[in-house]
Amino acid sequence: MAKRAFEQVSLQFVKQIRLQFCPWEKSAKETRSFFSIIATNKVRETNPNCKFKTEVKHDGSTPQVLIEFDDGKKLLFKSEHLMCKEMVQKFTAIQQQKVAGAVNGGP
Amino acid sequence: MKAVNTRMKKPMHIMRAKLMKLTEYEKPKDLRPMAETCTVFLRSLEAKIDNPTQTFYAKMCRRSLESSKLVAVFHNEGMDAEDTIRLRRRLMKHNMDVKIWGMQVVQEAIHETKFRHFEDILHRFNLYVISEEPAVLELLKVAKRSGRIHLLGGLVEDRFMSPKQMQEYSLSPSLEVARGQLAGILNSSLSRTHSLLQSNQQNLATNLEQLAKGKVNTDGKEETEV
Repeated sequence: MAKRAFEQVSLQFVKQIRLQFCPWEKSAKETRSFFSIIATNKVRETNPNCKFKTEVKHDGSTPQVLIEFDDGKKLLFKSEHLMCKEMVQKFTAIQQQKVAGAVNGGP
Repeated sequence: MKAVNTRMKKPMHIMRAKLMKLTEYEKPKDLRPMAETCTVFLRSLEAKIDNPTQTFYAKMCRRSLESSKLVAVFHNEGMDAEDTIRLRRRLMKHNMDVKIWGMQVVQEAIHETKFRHFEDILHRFNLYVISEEPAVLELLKVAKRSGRIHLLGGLVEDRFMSPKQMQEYSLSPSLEVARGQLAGILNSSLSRTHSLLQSNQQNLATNLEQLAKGKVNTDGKEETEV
């Protein structure tokens, strides 16, 4: 399941992705993995207009990923206790919902 | 010939079935709370097996880390091999090199060395830049241009630095210029005390001179009047 979720990651309908983390926190590791998976060239090619913004903080703050979609909706991961796999699964699930909605609502 | 049903398994004899049921292995009940069983990674409890390849790479890694004056750790944001080569080519102009080591290799390499403070920011997507000269300004420029890597920390001339400190370091002048500035500051205070000590006497001298001139002028006037 997980592997399939990793393969299905795409940035269709995504406008911007913001990441902020403190590298000295242990909880930031999974978030960094998640972002590195999302920001590969293969995934970036699915939507070249998507912007990536990374903020490296050194104040011990908790990691966060904010994903902004085309329709103005936002998805915020407060990923202190989240695994990379969980985040990817959730993200792909929402993505697939949007794809299904676009297919049904389209001409 | 009697037909034999090979598809259905023949039921066991009742006595044998009883014995089999009796001798079945029963797993002892896990008394730990659910939270603990979920979080404990059994893999870490296994004895570590020596990996000669890893030790070899760790040695190489340690050697290159210890021989360099500048070590910078970057967060890699999905750079593939092509991007890495491009980055390496840019950094090669300033005698810097890009290294991508596995996490376990670095962990073994920095164990009980001065680099052990990097342990917290280690990650499998990390990217390391090493150089024999502390050319921080060039490094920061190249990193900013690439846009895909983010500085997490570094070790410049045996001193750990955060990105902010590294930026300040890059803007600071070189050692010779700094020495010149220090000499200038010391000289300026010397010259000031010199001038302060002499100022009273100079004032007095100028005042006396003016007085003397005034007297001469007034004397001359008086003479002309008389």
